Amino acid sequence: MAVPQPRPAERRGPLTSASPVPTVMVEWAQRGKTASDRGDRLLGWSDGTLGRRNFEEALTRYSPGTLDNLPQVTVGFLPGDGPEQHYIAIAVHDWATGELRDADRRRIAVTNCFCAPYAELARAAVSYQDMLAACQRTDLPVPGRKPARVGLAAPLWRPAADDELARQVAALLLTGRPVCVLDANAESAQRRLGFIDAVMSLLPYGMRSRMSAATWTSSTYRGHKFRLFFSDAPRTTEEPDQLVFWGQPARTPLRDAPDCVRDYLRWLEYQIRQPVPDLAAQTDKAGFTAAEVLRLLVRNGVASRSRQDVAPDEHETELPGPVPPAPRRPAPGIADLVSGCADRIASADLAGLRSGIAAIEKCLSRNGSPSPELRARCRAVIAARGLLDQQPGPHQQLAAPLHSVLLRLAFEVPLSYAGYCQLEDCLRDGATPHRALLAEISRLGLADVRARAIVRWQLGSPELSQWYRCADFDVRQLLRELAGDWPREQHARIVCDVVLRYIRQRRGHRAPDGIAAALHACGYLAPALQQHHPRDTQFQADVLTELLRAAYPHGLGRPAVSRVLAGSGQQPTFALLTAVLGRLEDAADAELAWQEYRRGAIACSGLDDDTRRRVQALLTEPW
Amino acid sequence: MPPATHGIAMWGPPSSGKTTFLAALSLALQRKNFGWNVRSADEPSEKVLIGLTTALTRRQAFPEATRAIEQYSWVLNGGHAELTGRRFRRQRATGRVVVGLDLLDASGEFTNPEHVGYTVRDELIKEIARSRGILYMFDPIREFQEGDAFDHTFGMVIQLARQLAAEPDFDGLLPHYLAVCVTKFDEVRVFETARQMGLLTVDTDDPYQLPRVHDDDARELFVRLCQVSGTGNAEMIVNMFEQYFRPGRVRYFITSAIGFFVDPGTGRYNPADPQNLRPDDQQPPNWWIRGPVYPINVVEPVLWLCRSLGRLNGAGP
Repeated sequence: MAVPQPRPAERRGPLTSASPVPTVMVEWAQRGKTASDRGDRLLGWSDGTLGRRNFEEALTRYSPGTLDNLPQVTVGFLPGDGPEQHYIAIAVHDWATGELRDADRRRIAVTNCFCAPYAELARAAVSYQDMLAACQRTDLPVPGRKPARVGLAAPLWRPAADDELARQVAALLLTGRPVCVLDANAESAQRRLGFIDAVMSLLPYGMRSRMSAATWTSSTYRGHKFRLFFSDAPRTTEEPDQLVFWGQPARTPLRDAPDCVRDYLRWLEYQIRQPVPDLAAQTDKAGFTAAEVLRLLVRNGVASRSRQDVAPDEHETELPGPVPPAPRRPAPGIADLVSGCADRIASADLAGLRSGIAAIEKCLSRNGSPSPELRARCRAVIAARGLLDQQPGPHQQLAAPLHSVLLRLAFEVPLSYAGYCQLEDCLRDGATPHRALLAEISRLGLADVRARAIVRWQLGSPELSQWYRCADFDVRQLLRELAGDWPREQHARIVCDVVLRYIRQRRGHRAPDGIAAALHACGYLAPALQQHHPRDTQFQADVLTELLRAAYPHGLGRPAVSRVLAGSGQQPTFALLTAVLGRLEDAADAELAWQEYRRGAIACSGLDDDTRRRVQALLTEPW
Repeated sequence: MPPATHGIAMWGPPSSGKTTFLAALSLALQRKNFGWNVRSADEPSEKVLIGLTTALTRRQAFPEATRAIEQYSWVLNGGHAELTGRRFRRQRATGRVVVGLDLLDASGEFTNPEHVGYTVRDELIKEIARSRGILYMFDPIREFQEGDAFDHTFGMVIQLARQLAAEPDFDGLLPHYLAVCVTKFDEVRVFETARQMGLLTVDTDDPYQLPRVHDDDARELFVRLCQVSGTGNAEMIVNMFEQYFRPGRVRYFITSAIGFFVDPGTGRYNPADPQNLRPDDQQPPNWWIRGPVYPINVVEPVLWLCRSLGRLNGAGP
């Protein structure tokens, strides 16, 4: 006999034509009865990780009770031992197609249940509505009892963060007591599910791992397990539910609410500009126990650190009482925020790290450029805690935003050469910036050619080659820089290598315009090379040979020999002589090179005129 | 002073008539002048009371199947007579009595042994253990077809006993008062069985002279109906009740929530046309209630439980 299906008119597809990007394997079950049955039973279920017993337990545990206003939607969870075994369950309760009736003449209701791994949903912060829309595209039962792979479309819904009632309900849920929404009879189940999503968007996403909600419940089903639910009347329980009224936030009883409710509500209303993306990123599984709520409040800066040693309660129990009021403290300084980020990296607290990054970001946007003193203080913290060092760990997925805020906080950006030196000082053991940091530095911009050359060189040949083709690359400028003072010798070597690589790449091509003149102006870099590589004459000679080749690709004639060795106004070095001798057009000009070398050396020796003339005269005498 | 409240749990396999029994309760109180009425103690229960009653009267249909553990708080208001005064000056005084009923109506499939270990079944056991009165629904038609009444009962009794074993005064017998209600007395097969056994009688106060089975004969009919169980296991139910419940705390009632057909035109019951339930022409047929509902023996088990529990608690009718 055919299994009854929910009414087709109520099965909705996606609201837009957004193309599905991530997919998730969904396990499913169908509960109801056939026309010959008297009682409900599992009609079919997928042959996956979850078994019949799991589905029976979930569907009976998360039953909304006896309803005559269908369809309705319930959400719940199935806990597992590991993150991949924890499921979010969403169920649609509806009348069977064709007004089917059972053996006792009663209408048949069918429940279609879909269970998706929490970890996969959390990665994309999938809402209940999105999950439902994706799952409802699957006809049940799936042939072969296979789990269904559903595509999760790009979010079709944006949370209504300005919904006052949603904010109130989100805060009230922190007490651990259920919240009942009354007077929503006229709203559709879809609209009520949207409200549930809006509420949950104002809490860390991880709380969906312990959340149960229903778009409607029977008010006489006193023992149901929903934390948030709609109904037509309050249920009679020993501890009454927290009641709110649809569209009437003024009626929400907040005056006697615990401090955690008021604090969180205030935080949502006034202190956070973008609560939704921050909270959507907090995907660590979390529940509604006292310890977990306190952790949530501390993590998001709503309350100060307290009771962090309270072990989380593994069972769903109510809070024993109002959360004790947190002592008021001044807001943490920005250096504290930086230090806090280091703490969170050490404790692998990704959610906390995100919050810390966001807090620094807010400070930057609110207060503008930090003062030099503040930058220095932050650099000290960064250096002490190794925040810019490469550290393996789960926090690497937040490397880019972390580097971005720290760079903008502790250094002037775009980064100058001086700033780059400061950055290197923040790295431990003389390390150079790692690739991710370099990428962020490059993205933020480099203020001068020295910084550009160093960073591009460290990023590697492809980056360097790309820079060579850019309009802002000027080898003449680099040559001038090389002739200047360099506080860090290794940087000069790097820039020198940048120049040499450029020259080598252009070998066989027309010499860059003005390179000969640029070299001439800086003494062909002979003095600079002598200064930075005093004991490596061979290196000096090799570099100078490359430079002369670039400036005089066809070799040095007699005029060029004189110009190079005695015409730059800077003392020629023996390495330069060696390079010139290696580039002579005519080997017979070697004597000329030697003479010009002597002339240039004497002319730029710094001797007074008399001494110079005497030396010159002696040197011209035949031995 | 708030009324004494008695917890009464309804228990029986799916479609044994639990919810319909409740739906018929207020109608039964009004059909016959028991001197009692029923109201609800809270808003949710009020909606249910109205909805269930309306289902039978206006829509002439059975209530929707129960899908969870529904709990209703109703209040019975009634009068009772008692002897007052000293030995030779006794007088009969009439007083008003208010009795609270916490009724538990659970989906029948939770009593299925396949649900042992499920959270919802454990909750049902706890709720029944908290109550002290049980309305046990036995559907002879279902038992004839499915034969699973014993399966739905034995496991529950065993689990109840284990739940109560923790109580200090537990002596191995369940402390509950058990009203065993054989439902669907209006079904032809049940009615004919009673007639062939010579158990039919009428209530002299009944203006419609509708047939019924006296409470004293109810156990005999129950035993006979168990003998035609589809599996033959129902015969063990009687013994099980008498082994696990205290003597004197089990009573049998033959009931019908919808009663027999009374022609609204003539206002008379016709023994040749007794059925109040009739199929329509569709295939498979939908069943509909033909005429007004005249419940049989629906109030009596409830009042018996209330009186018994009242004596147990030292209060009540």
